[in-house]
Amino acid sequence: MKDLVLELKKEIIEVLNFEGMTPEDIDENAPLFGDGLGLDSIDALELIVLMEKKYGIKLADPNQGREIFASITTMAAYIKEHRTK
Amino acid sequence: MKYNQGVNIIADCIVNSLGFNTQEIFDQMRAGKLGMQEVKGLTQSEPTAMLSQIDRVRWNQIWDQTNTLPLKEQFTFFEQLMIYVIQKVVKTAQIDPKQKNVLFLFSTTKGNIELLDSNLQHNFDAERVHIWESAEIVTQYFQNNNQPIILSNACISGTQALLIGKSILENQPYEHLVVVGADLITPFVVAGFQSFKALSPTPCRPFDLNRDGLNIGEGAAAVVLSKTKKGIVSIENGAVTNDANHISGPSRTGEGLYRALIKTLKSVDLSEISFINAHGTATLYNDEMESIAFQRANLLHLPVNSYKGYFGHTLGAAGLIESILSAHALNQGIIFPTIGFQELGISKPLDIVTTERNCNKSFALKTASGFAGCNVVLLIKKGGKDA
Amino acid sequence: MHNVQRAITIRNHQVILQGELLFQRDQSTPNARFFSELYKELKLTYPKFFKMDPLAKLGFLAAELLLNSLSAEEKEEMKILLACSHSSIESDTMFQNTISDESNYYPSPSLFVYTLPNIVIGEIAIRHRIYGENGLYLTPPNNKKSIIETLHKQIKWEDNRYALIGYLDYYKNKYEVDFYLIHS
Repeated sequence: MKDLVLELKKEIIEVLNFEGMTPEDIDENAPLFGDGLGLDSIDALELIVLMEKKYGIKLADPNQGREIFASITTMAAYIKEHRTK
Repeated sequence: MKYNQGVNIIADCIVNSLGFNTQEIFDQMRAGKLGMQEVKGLTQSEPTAMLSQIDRVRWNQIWDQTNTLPLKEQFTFFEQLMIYVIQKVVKTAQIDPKQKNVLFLFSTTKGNIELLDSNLQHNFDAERVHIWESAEIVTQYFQNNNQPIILSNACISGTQALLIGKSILENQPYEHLVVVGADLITPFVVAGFQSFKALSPTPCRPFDLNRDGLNIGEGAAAVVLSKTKKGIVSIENGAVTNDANHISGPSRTGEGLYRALIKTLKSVDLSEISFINAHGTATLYNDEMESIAFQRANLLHLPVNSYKGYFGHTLGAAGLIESILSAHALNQGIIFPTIGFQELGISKPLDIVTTERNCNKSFALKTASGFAGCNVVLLIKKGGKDA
Repeated sequence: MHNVQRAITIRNHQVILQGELLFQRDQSTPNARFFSELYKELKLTYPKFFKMDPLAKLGFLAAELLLNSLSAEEKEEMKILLACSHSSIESDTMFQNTISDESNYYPSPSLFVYTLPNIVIGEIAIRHRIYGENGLYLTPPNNKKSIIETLHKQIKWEDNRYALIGYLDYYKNKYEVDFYLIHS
């Protein structure tokens, strides 16, 4: 789980273009949207692509993403349970 | 009736999923026909997509039967459509496109974007993907030597082009302006909107409680604007604004659209407006944003419709196609219903038109909003010429 | 061209504001690094910058230098009329690459949003809270001087207003931007 959290942080920095940010800068329990990392709606859509591309998880309903993408921890837990690759 | 002074639409032609000229499309709409159908396998994202495509079989017949048209192989489908609609309007308007006082104005978002796909076999060189290249090819076909103006301002392009056309005619020594708008359905655009989760799998439902996204459409349209000849409507006023809020999502307060409405409505008596033809894409956020802007501008008493339920969202051409259809509706004293709408699904009580109405007021409003936060409002006035 | 208050040019890794060289880097510097270093030089804290495509970054940086002396009130109703030649071709090509390969087909929404050339105007408008008229025009590369004059002529002036007009382009790793701040 710890490895997955670190991997996710690296992926998010990469796909969402967080220039100059390191995994240590991200609190895995902080909210990804709003006050925490401050992601927006396009970032949410890009996370849906990441889930499919990297972990083989297809999220058909973008509203489903809201709970899954609450924090890095919730994302990691969902991936652990549902990943197909 | 005396015709309007100012800048008038004196000829128009539309091609889209409902037909190959304005009259045919107008009649199909009055008969309640929809242009969208389920298309299989266009992209890998989804097995099917609900799209409003131009009938390619009929298109080929029409092109071949029109013996004044050039060899089809020389032009992409995008260029063919533009040549066709321009040829129709210059003929109707009885103007000579070669004349120095005629200027061409193009509006599109993606032009020949299909040519970027290396899997697609074609005989065109790579440069053809640049929109100025296409626009020059079309103006050269009509032997017009003026540098064409090309607008690419997302989904407000077509409506904004009419406003720019008016301004050019009023301030520069041209007599006629040929305004063209075109955009195509391509795997590129459809995959993009699918990645945005913005498409409805069924015919779209503008302003409806159960609306779940838009349908992509394609089309081309042209008008001739004139400051010397009379037409079905005149371009009275309008404004373009920005939300200054988000590059893809509409403003939650409708700020940009509200500001464009206020600027446009300064010059008109609200009781003289017949209807608002809204953008009405049937996405959750667009339609809600429009309802907020209309309420803020005190327009809740005005009938509102959207044509997206008839022939989808034709992107950079949408504003021109919908302005032309609104011009004819205004001129004939009718207001189209919003096909697909059943139950109010926006927070403000707009008067969404559900069945065709009659109204003989003089003005209509066309609005559109697009990516990058841009908004446009156009005010047209009934002219003296029969449709 | 009259009423020009400020002018900025960025090309060949040189930033020239009001005719004076303000910042430069060696020609061998990759474009992306040049943009990042200019961003840092300007001491900006605007993380959204790193999400932008090259065309938007270019316009954003030029606008930053051109508009930094204006107040919020002066910027609110400003007009932004820009032209470019190769549209959003850089992002178009990158997005196309996400859908060309059947076995690696993942269309990217964050690339798709930049496949419209007018997004750069949206980015500038958001940054500076500009609500005024805006338009993105396309023109052949050999017509860039003339298009700027055309845009200048097109402005319908209201009293005491500003406009940002200019040309920018990004194609095959070559870029350039010429922006003018005009006052009525």
